[in-house]
Amino acid sequence: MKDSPLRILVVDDEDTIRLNLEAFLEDENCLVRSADNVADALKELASHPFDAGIIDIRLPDRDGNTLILEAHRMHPEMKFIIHTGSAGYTLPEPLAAIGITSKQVFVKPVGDMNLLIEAIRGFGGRG
Amino acid sequence: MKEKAVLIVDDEAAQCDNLADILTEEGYVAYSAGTCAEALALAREKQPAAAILDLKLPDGNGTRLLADLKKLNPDILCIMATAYADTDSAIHAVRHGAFHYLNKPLRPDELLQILERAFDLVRLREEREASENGRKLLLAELTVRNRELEAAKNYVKNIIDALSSVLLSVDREGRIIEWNTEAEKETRMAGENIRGHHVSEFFPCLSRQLDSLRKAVDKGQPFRWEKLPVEVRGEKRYKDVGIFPLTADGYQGAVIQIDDITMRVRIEETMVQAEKMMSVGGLAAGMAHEINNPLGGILQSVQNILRRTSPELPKNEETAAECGTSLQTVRCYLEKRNILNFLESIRESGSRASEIIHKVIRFSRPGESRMAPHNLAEIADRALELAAHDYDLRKKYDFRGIEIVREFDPEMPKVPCMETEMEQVLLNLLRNAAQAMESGLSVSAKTAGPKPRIILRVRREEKMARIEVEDNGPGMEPHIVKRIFEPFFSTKQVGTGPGLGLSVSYYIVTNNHKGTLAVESEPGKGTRCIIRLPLFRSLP
Repeated sequence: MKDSPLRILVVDDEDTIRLNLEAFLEDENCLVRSADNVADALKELASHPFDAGIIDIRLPDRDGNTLILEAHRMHPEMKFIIHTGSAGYTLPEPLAAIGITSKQVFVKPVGDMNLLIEAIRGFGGRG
Repeated sequence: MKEKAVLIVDDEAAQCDNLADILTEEGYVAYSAGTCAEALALAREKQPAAAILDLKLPDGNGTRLLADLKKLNPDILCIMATAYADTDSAIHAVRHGAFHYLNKPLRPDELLQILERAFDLVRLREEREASENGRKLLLAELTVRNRELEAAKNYVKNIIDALSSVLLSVDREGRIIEWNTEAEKETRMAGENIRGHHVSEFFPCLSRQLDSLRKAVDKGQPFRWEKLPVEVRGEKRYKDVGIFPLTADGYQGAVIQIDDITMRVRIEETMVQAEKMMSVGGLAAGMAHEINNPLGGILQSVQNILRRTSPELPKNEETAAECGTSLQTVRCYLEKRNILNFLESIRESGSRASEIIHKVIRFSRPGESRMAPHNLAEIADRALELAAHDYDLRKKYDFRGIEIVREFDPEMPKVPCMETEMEQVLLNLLRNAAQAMESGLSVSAKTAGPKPRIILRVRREEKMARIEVEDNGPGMEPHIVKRIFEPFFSTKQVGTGPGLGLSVSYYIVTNNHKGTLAVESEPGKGTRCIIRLPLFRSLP
């Protein structure tokens, strides 16, 4: 793990959230790239490999669910954390079908970002 | 007319025959007798309407016979035949009921004239009797008709008594004429006691409607009022009142219909309350997303600041050195200027805001957890633990300073409920009780008064589970108790909470569990919250 740092894509249109996640993950020795909309995220996905993505659901152009499905097609090994502001979020069928569970859903505010990185590292251990 | 039967009584047979011939010729039917005994036998058999009696008879006298005949038929008309010498006896006989007397020898024309008069009398009597019978017949028919009328009246009365409305008929001035059973129940007066009384004596709510009553009667137009608030024996109730004029046959009056709709109004109020709750919940759910994002920003920024000033990350030390200082110096400065504490307050405030949002969201998503049978005592104990923990954490109330009395019925069956929701409700009630006692203590001298105590009771009513949370705190004035379930109503200091606890609890208990939540309070004595949950779930 120490040899190859985790490559993480952060997608959130809320600047503060995005910048905080970036800072935290960098402090955790991850390689972080970020986007604030689906189109830019897809560009990142097309040009870089990622181990995991922390994805907001409500985004200005398209929704995070679609982005995750698209990303999964491009990088089948990529894992996802859903980081949403909506307490009523329920996992859509297609996301469940690609193996995403409610343990990967985090409702904002996540005051302790360790929870996110622990979840991501959990994937690593499994893989 | 029947045959005109005449009895002739004379001991001289020739005289009898002679008279009989004359009478027969005139259309009478004559029966002759020579003795009293014969005469009585014939009278019994033939029932003559008239008799001609000789005063002197072999086995008695005519006066005596007259009396005997009268006994058989009081209406018999007897003509006494008498010799001149015996006129006194004849007059005596007339005084004792004889129709007439004639001197002997009888003159046929005179006799016939008298007989004619006698039979006129008979005819009159018969006619009178016939009319009497007619009257009786009429009376009998009237009785039957009356009975029918009574039955019809009873039927109509049954109909109006079967109605659940109070029905009264009144005259134009509002005096009561008729009423139904419901009206008796309402007035608590039976029968005739209310007839003629003024309607407003029993129904004060109508005293303002009297003008409308007159108008209704005069114009023949009905009036209606809906949801008229009235005080009935100290309780506020609602009535629908209708005035329907009775104008047929020139009658000047009206029927007043009064329906008690208190139950309906209360249900409506509950619905409105529930809707208000729903809208608060809906609004909250929409707002939550908007607030969660900036809250995330706040909390995560604080976390990053704390991390980037802590000795745990090697990079912090490196960066400090790059800036020509040491992390220790930076931390020393932050501590001396209390900045780390300020950051901690940001984190705490953010967490609290997040908790509020979380509660509000819960409230907008009922039925998240499933109904299942649970042990209320266990739920209550968990709520107690949470409450104790909660107050230790915040250091605002010393929960350990409160005596907790647990009165749990050991026979209590499991109760269908949503575990986490009921836990939340009890936690809310415990928290309120603790806070109330704390604020009460700060007002009065802390040493005086009873030791703060919360009694938690769980017991069974027939079809309900009953949970009570009772404190011996300062209690509440009635006007506060009234508003206690309103969203955002709070007696606590601003910043202590959003004032949603009780309304959320109310919603959880009444809407999600179909139970009831009541609050009883008396200033200076304390407050008791009573939750009642159905032990059995009704079918949907």
